[in-house]
Amino acid sequence: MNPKRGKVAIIHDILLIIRSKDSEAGPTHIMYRANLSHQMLTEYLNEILSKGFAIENTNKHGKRTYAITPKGHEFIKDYQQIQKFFDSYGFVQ
Amino acid sequence: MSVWYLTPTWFSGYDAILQLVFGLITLILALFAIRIFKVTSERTTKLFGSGFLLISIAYFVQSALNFFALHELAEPIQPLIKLNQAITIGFVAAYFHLLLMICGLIVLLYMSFSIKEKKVLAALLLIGVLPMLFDTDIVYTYQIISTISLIFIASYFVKNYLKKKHALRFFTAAGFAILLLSSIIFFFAVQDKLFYVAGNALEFLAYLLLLINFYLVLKK
Repeated sequence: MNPKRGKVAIIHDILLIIRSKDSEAGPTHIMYRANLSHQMLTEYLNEILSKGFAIENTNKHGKRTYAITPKGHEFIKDYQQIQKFFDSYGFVQ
Repeated sequence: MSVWYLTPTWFSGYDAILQLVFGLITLILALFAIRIFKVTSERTTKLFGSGFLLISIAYFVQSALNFFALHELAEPIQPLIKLNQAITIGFVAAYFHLLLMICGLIVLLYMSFSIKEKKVLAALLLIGVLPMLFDTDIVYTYQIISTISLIFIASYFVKNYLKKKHALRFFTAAGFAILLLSSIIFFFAVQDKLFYVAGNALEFLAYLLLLINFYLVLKK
């Protein structure tokens, strides 16, 4: 993963991880795969939940898991356009 | 960004159509930026979208005003009361257009700075709008404020292009640089009709580049 990722790129990476685990992605798994600190992960997950890109569930072992929503799928689909838009104007994320 | 200058008779009507096109292009860019802001909550996209939305409304007002003027002038004999009403409507609409355009450019100018203080935006808006309210020669005041704003906005996008030379950034930088050039050309439109046409043509070229850039962003 790119070490100088912007906010939008990190959200995109997290959503890809959640999607790849088929609704069973736990916070630790996401934290390691996305290469984030615990504090950063909490901030990004809060943003992802508040934007409705994913929902929080509790699995049969009582642990927190995340599942991607249709809005999250749409974000992944639009990500390339969003990145190109930021890049074309040189906006810093 | 044009106001009302000496217009060649043959160009009347075409300018209104061009301003309608500018309004549509800036509206498309504004709505796309606002849509991206809703997804990313990025400050720059909010400011870019808001600035272009104000500029878009300004162009629609200007276009409507030019169509209105064209329609009014087409009637050979008019009662004095109707003529006075037309002049008043025209003056109010022109003022509204100038204020919207200045506010839009100032929002873009604020976006180009890396300062996040809202007080700076408030100060810039006051510095930009107040002279327009109290100055008698509002066209020159508008030209000076809009050109200064465009110098900073264009240099922001040119610097971004120089940091990373990419085709998409080139279209953006070239678009804003040409907008600055057209703003300078409009200074001379008070004396010569042809400068008004040249200014509009350059503005068209600038927005065409921004539209090509937008198409390339959307292209998969």
